[in-house]
Amino acid sequence: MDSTNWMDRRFETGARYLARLTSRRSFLTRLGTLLVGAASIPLLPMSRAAAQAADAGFREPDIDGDAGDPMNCNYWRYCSIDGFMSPCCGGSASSCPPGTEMSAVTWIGTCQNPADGNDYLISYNDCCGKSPCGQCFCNNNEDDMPVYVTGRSNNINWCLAHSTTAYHSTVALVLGRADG
Amino acid sequence: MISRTWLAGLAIGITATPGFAQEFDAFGRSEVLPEPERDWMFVDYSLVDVTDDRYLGLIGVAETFSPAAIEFSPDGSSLFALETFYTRGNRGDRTDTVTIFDTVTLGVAGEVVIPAKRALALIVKGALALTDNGRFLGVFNLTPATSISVVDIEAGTFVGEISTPGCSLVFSGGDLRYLMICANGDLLTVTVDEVGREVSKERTESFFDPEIDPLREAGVRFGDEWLFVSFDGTMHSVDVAGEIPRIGESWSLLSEADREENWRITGRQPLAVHEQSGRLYVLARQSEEPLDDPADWDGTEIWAFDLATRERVQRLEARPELEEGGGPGGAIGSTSGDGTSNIQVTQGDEPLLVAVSDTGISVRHALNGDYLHERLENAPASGWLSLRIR
Amino acid sequence: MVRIALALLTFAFGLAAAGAGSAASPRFNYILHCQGCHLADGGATPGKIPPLIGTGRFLAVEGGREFLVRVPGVSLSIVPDDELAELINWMLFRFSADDVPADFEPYTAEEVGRYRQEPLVEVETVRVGLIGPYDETPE
Repeated sequence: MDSTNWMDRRFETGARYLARLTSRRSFLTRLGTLLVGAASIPLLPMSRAAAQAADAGFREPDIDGDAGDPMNCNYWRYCSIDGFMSPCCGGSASSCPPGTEMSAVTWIGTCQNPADGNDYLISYNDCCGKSPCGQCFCNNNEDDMPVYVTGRSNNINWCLAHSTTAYHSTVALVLGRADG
Repeated sequence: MISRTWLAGLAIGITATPGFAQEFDAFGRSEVLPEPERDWMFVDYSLVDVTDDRYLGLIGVAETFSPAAIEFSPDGSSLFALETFYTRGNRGDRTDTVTIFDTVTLGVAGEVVIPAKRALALIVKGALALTDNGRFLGVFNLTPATSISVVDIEAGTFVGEISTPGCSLVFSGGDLRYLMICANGDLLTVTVDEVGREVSKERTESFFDPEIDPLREAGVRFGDEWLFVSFDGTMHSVDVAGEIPRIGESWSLLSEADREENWRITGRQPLAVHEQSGRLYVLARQSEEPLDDPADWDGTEIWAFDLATRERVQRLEARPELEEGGGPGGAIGSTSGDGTSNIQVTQGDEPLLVAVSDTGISVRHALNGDYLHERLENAPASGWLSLRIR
Repeated sequence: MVRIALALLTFAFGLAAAGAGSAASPRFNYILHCQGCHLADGGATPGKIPPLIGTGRFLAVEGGREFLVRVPGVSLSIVPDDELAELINWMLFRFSADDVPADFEPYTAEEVGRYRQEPLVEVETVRVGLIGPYDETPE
């Protein structure tokens, strides 16, 4: 079975599944980087807040092959994050702040990295054991589903299966390529 | 002799009122609430009189990750809330309780310890549910395996846990029944016996496809029907009156013209029902792009539908044009901040439409849309809106 | 022994074909759809999530084969039948190779499609009835 047929089958199973592959929101911001000057992007009629978020956009990659700023809610890995970004709380996109523990149980989605155009598997583990960080709340929801689809919901405190369920912040681990 | 006090009063321009006699206070008095009125509403756990713009009191529920979800006893004398405690504040061993509050004193009347598994998630509707006979409180557990903890509120005891694999959230589904939503769009009916023990668990055929158009968790009850809206603005209903729950015909809140103008149903608390007139109020905004999570996007308009005819009968602006007040905060659950995130309607002859925006909470006469208060001064800025009297 | 090797070979061939840029590979599907709860090593979270380690034992009992498909994480997932069959086969060898019987017939798409029409509403009791309570000790 070749990849075109696979895509067709995915399309048949629903628009949302296709959306997972075409990554709507990152497409918008990717479009932005191709044009000269973020402010000149003709933005679609969304809220002012979203427009500001899109304008904040991508900066030049400052880590080789890892485009964007992990302190910015538009960082490519955060396409489906819901929580306080770990780098703002003393951790990094890949590590928890000091004194907190990374939950093993979590949910895993995919995001597209504009630096190479590839999709990657992203694990949104929560950092547990302290009161909420309170800084840099970031909520993007690509592929996010309601709570009854528990394995794909970012509205769940994923510290719930950890030894301490107090939620502090969230990381976004890159597990591997998401191309099958 | 001229008293120093009198002279001091003179110096700062105070003149005494002839015949005034200062009363003295006795120590230790706390207010109790009078008979509740229809215009009382909870903003999360704060009780507010939305007509008089008066803060009435607070239910002292321990702050947790999860938003406010409360249930009332059938006679209204008690209120139930879920609490989670750790032995050392935010760490240590965990205890979950159903805590019972007295609705007159707003004090704690008791608690029932339940398995420390209640769902820590951003849900309000679906977190807990009372059977329609008012006796068995079901709590939705997520470990991430799912189950219901059943509490007999008459006896004040934990009855037992019913495992509900693959299905989540708990809604009242009849005198001795709960409804749950399964990951593939099936409905699960959980039946208990006269003492709250599991009798049966039945799945229906899927009533929606979560891969195509997921249902939002925040359903509302209209008589014997549960009403849910989907991401795409389709209303789905479940009638719980009969022997078995019956899935109703679905219908769209969005007309062709609405879709051409890119209207979508959004908001954190997007639905409110006024039972007497049979009106459904919803939040809507325009967006050319589909929204990944409509809950994060405020509605810029409030629409009212006649549930009998399914016609839209009213369109209201979502918030008054006040000067900016705050904007989206850094808290978990904050929204786009450019409209209304939560709506609720009081019941009875003169319903009030209460709306949460980032500028604060507004109150309107629900049937004609006229403002009573453009912004409540004595209410918390935002939160889930729950009726004191349903 | 030879039969296991044959099964593994057929299976590995299937994997290679899958990896050639068509349907999602079992490893990919596992990470995206299962690993969040069942972890990279298939271990249990005591009191909360059962282990995938040892799941081969279900294949030796009547009703065990269907059980592995009817559990909600499998039956309600969005993975299509053919990929789901591959995923279960992969998972058995990945986490429980020693328990897979010599005469194991890999799951087929048709079989998986059939079993998943009946998701279980009761898992723990059924599991205990099949192979007893699970050992939560991490391996």
